[in-house]
Amino acid sequence: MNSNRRSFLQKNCSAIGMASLYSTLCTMRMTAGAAMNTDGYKAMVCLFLNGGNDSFNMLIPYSQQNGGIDGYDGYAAARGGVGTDANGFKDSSLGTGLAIDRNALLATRLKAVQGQPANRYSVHPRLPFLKTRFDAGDLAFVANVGSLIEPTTITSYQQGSANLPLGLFSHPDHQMHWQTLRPQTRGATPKGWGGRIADIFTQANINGKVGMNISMAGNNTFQTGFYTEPYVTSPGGPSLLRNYDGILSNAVNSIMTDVYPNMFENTYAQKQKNAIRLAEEFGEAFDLASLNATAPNTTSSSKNKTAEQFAGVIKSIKAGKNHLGMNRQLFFVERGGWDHHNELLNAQGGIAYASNPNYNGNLADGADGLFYEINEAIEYFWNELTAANLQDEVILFTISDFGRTLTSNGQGSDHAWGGNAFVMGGGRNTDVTLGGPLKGGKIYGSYPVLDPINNGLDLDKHLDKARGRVLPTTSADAYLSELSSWFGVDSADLPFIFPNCEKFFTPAENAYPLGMLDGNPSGSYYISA
Amino acid sequence: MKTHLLMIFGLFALVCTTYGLQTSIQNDKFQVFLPTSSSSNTYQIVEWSTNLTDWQSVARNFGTTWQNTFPHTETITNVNGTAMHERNLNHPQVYYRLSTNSVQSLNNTNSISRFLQQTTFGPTLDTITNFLGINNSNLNDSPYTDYANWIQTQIDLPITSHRAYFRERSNPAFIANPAATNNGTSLYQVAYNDDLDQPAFNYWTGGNNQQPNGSGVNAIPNYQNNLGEISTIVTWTRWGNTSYVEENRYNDWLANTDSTGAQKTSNPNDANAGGSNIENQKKVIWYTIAIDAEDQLRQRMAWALSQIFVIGREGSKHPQATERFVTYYDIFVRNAFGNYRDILDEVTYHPQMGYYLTYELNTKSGDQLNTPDDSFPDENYAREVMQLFTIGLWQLNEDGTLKRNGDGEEIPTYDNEDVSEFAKVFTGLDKPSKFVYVNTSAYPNYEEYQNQNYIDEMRFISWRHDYNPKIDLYDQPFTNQWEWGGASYEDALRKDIGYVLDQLFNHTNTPPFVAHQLIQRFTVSNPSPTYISDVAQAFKTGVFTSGSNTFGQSGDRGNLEAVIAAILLHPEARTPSLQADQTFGKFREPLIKFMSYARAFKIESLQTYGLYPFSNLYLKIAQEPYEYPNVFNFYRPDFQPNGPVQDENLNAPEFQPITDVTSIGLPNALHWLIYTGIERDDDDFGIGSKWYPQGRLDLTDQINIAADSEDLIDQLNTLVTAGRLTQANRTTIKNHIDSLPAGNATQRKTRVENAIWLLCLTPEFNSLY
Repeated sequence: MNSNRRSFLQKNCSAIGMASLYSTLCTMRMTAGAAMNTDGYKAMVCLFLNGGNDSFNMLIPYSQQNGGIDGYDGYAAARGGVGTDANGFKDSSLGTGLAIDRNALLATRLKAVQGQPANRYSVHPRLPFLKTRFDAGDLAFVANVGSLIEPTTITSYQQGSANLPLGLFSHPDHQMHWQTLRPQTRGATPKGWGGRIADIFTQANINGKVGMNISMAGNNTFQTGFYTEPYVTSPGGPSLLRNYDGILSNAVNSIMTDVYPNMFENTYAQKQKNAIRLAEEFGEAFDLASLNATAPNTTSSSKNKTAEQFAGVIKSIKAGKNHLGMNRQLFFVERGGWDHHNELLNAQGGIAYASNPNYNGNLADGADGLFYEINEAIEYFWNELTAANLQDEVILFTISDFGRTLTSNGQGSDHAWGGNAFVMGGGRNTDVTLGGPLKGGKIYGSYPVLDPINNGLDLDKHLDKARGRVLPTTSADAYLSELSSWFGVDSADLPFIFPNCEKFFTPAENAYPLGMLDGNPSGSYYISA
Repeated sequence: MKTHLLMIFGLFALVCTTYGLQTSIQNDKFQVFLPTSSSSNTYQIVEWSTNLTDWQSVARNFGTTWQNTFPHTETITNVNGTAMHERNLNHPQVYYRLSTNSVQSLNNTNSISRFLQQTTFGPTLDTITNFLGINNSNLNDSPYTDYANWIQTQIDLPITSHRAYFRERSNPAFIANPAATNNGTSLYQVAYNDDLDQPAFNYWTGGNNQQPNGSGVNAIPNYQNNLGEISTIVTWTRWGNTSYVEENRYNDWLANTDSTGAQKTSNPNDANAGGSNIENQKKVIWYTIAIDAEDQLRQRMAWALSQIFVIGREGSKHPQATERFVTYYDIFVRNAFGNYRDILDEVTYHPQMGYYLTYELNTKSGDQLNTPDDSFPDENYAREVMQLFTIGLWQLNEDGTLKRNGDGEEIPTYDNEDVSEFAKVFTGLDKPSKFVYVNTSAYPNYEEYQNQNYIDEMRFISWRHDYNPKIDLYDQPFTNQWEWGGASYEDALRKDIGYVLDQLFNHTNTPPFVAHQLIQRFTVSNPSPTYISDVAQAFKTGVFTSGSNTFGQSGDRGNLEAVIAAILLHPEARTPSLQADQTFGKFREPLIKFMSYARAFKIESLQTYGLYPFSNLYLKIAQEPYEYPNVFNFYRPDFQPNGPVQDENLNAPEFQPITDVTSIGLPNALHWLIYTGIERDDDDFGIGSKWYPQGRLDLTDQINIAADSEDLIDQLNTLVTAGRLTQANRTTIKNHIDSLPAGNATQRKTRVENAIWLLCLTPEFNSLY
């Protein structure tokens, strides 16, 4: 039941047809080599928060200037009131509001920012490491970003004159939007933007033994291109086929290399063959790489699932860079569980353990919450990067299906649209002569005014049913184009990677529409005297 | 494959009988006549191309009639018994070609094996040879009477209830009491305290130790150790409040003696004579039933339905509470040949679903914007009951193809307003009380763990429900007014929910939406519009006839007996010549493949009293009962792996979890099963939870013939690959076997092990067509 047609016999109604996307690819592969930048080593790590992160509780306005409307007070009003105690832990006696108590936000208050409605923002109380990195300049936020087809206003949305992404507010559709960057087409046939990059990067990894894209979290559309597929492995490295030695391996190889007309058999044989071969090759290199420290256990018995994947990424970076001849790598890491219809504050923030007199274990406060895990994992990842001096060569960025409704449904929030993301990488210190690629310590994009009366971006405001679903003001295209440009994609190739991007900015003029990164190579930044 | 090429230049018509395709111009249309085939073993396909390189199929005929093929936009018409394809005269120039393929039909034995691969958790030598009709020469001819009879027999078999299975083994005083019913479900007592003459609660072994002989104040006394090997189903005990202790006497009750009458003793390898992981209980029940139960078709249907009404792996706070999971799963077991509308009801009112899709304690909206406690009802269930359980996202024709508006775009079935409106309907439900009735004969079902009951039907909280008028999918208001008085509040809530479920059940989308997904679980991944339409018809009318067999009941919309018969007895499921269609068939589910080896090679239970305690399968093969990764199941119906499947814009859902990790995981898991059995391991966890084997294959039937590699391969080809094994792979495997000695039983066993392990890597085993 797919609507997408790659058949050359079908007319294609969309502005960029699938056939033309594919044929554009064919042309590009001939010429792209000259244009892309593959100097040095660079890696991007995509952290996918699966389920729709309620990110207006991740990045929170703190200031109360202008009567607080543009800042904290507006936020609290939008979220139905304060729902936590002074340490940021849910207080059920307070009712159904979802706002974090302002007292809890002081310790994680970020340094001052400019160009946003408030001048001080905080991160959620259980994300202190994000504050550390932000203040040091190694982390930036992208505010109110979401999937769009074209610049959209509240008016054009409400009047129905805007082209809207298909399947708004539905998980699988939004997840596809962020992976294909072609939300006018349903499903996975446009392939993923990471796959498209791998398709045209013919000059990257020219001596590489494994593909550019590696996933710690299973198959995904994001890293699947027309020509390339991700290599899927697990934090412990690839598993080898048992018994694959001696004469048995000959028999196995015969079976795998035979010709099968049936397309299911054919597909299976190809995949199996590659899996067996790659496990051997990649596994060897993976085992040669070492970690500075093992991934932490969030609690005494359960591993930090995100940190575990990061450990696999670190080893894969070292394996790729040091042993497999890779100079561009793109990683995919996933953490699920963000679909907080039923319970937001506890799920994100966890429970107060250490300060609970009735508890006699050794869990830290909030240790069962998702933010605690992310915080610990990000800190672990940063420490591993800096121990190997990789922080200027590796950029981590987050994506999530959508942000969530500002209003509560009693215990949690429902599906919405615009949300906040963050990016981490070696920071550019503007006062020094050398630095990393990321101009951190800033909030990019436009953080909205959340106050219910003054929020001009609330989709349903006109219907008196305002749930605080925020229209995104920064496109996923702009956000991800910026990262891809840093990665080495030439501005002329950006419209192929991101088919809608030219509606939002002009790549030829500026391939870094947000301004968080630029085209200068790492380590060579200098301020002209 | 013989191919005839016909060239058509612009407007000129050529009559080229030597090319096998006749044409003519009639009524300003260009007609290409499609020849009739002579037998059901012939497969014909007509394709066209503009450049003689890229070919697109237009129509195919597998011995019945011509039908169009994907993308199903070309019309094939039948006039006076002649099939043709028509085009406008100004259509661009194309070339046509006709290909004809005669396939060797499968012999009866292999046909039956193939049928059993579609309908059970795997064929066995017994179920093949005992198949009624195995010697009939018309086995594979329409109306497929023998297959229809088998289906009817399966429908008539007694139900293997997962919950009853659990209760039988957790309560030594178990009495099956089908007369005690509520809502049509049979109730079974959990445990009974004779001293107090009342039911005892389900319990857990207290303290830090889940073993019956654990230490600590809540441990059960030592005398239990003298009862011999503790079974792997451990029930919970709760100390305190009553002096009565229900110890686990499953091993004692079931048999403390083995088949020779000798007393079974504690397993010396198991120093901690205790049960396995409690979380595994529900899965062990599933495995054992899948492997041993007689009502295989019912169990396959339940498994298929559970992949539509998914409760994902994170779906409960208490994964160790077995009974709530098995009662939910039993909804699909009991209603496998019942009615889809009943399933919608039971699922909606089940507290497990209430928790998972977050409408437990869902409450109507508060006041409008300016009050601090403003909140709105949770939309989760309202959305998913439409998107996943009934109508899907896009309007469909009866044959499953998408409806389109004037601009050629797809048409959504609902918008966000509908979701918000329906969210108001699913308010006012909560998990049931801890005790429903403390009444042994009427309703003694309850589960107690941290004071929560996730077994019985959800209860109703009147003030949380929204009684105001709401708008339905067709913009019509509906309201079920309440009157003063307690009972009618509940009545209004039930009417509200019933209204929505009825509307969705009766929507024109639902028959093809459900038909398509069920077809994918049994026979093919890409059913033709004809196939979907025929199965949708069975859903709609409630009845399906094949020859002298009638399934279902006329007028019973949603009758699943009719649906499954329509799926399995359709020519598209039964016609051998379709093997020649490279797009035909499906990639088999990993879990079913794994179970099929356990069945085919007669797995035996060692020290586990007939249970098969597999463990950790999800890590290896990406599928495990009760481990659906999220509400979208293990795979989406429209997943497309890279390669020829995607190039043809077709679907192959079962490839979605196949990665470089899991594709190796399945042969590795089977390697464990074949060479070692159900056992734990340090390196890659093995497939068991103990350091000694708790189950092993019985390869006697294969070892006995292993000295002759031809005989062995013939048998395995039928048993494992339903006759599909290619000549090349047959040779490869035979050569490998021949290189191994066959002097004694041990050597012959090695031959067999190698052979069946190699077979599990063949594409013929992994696919079904």
